[in-house]
Amino acid sequence: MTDMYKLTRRGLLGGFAATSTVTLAACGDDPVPSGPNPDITPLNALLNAEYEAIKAYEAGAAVLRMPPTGDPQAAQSAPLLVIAMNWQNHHRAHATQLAAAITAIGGTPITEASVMFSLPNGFTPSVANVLRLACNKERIAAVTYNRTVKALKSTSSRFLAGTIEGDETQHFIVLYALLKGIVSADAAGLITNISEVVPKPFVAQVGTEMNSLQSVADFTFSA
Amino acid sequence: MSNDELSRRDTLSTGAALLAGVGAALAVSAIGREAEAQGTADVSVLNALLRAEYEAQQAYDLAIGYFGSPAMDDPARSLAPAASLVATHYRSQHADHGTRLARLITSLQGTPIAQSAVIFNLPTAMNFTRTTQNFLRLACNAEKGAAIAYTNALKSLSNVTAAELAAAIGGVETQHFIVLYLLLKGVATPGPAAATMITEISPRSVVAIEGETTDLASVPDFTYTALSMS
Repeated sequence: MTDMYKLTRRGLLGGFAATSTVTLAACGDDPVPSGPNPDITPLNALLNAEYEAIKAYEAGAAVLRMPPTGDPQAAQSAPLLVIAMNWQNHHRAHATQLAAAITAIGGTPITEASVMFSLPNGFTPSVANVLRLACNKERIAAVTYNRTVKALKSTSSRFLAGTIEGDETQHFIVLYALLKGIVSADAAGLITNISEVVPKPFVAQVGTEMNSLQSVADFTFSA
Repeated sequence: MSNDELSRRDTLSTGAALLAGVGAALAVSAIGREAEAQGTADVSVLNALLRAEYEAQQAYDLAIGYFGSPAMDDPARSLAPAASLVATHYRSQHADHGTRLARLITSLQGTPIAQSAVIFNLPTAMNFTRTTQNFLRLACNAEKGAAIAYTNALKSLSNVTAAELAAAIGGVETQHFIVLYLLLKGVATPGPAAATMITEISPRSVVAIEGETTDLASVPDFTYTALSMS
């Protein structure tokens, strides 16, 4: 029996000790019962997914750097590679903040080296398949983050999950709309503004001031 | 055993029971007050988000009205029909958000603000004139603000269902934002399927809600195809 469970059992047997435990639990937030912080495991699961995403973009980048002969979208591979590398950096920023949060609550972040990524069944190298792979992964990541918000106990952990989720949803919809043909890339606009294709890794500020949509200026109106 | 002994034991026993009872009552009362305060705070936050949803609907109504009959000298006049389709779809998603927020507020024993109590006015002090571009800029700015507001709300919402809904809606506002942003930055243009598949521009009104069958989890994965080398 661990010390945590001994404490819990003793608390349940003793009147006011039990009350204290219940009161802390009822607050439902940053004060948590003694023992490992319950947010460590779900945050590490998210960190695992971020490391997988980093490796998935690396696998996709290898295809984009040298598309197969005859790939009808080979001409688009260069700008897509730039975007893929930008978004991989977003995932690195997410991983950095998740690891810091895990450490801050007394946990040990998993290491990038311990995470493996395998290309899915049916995947063959092509520019279109790289886009599909990224889109599928970003959608699943967004859903996973949202579900994890419900599993996290502290508001600060939920905020971190939410501010990352909103970046995954942007990655997803850009890829989805392109693949569905609802939007097309404007070649000239893309060259000029390629770093604006999902401009920040977080929705609301985490860490530095410039890494979130809060630092993106509003459009001004013109007559 | 004497009556005195019985009496003393009863007194001790009763005292212990009373003490335990008072302690429990105090604890329950403290928990109740805490929960009540948290519930009240959550309702305030959710009502602020609901107000923003009602404002968004009214803003899109004004935009849709303009897109239906843009000024003859509007330089982006040709974009108005596509903009109208996008605005109409986004407006319907904001209406769904409003419904979900109002339902949650009611379930938390709160009173949702009435839609009729919310009045949206176009900006007057920022050179806003009615053009296709300005309505798109207005929508993009507002969607960005909404995405940030939903995310920051997670810092204060104590109810986990409320946090789940805020994240689920916030993740859709970000989709609205980035599509408008890329159109306005000239990075994206309406594609060949824009007219026929416009609801796919943001395919679900929430990202993920437990028990929900029409959230983003229900969007099928793309399948992979082999290159044809013919």
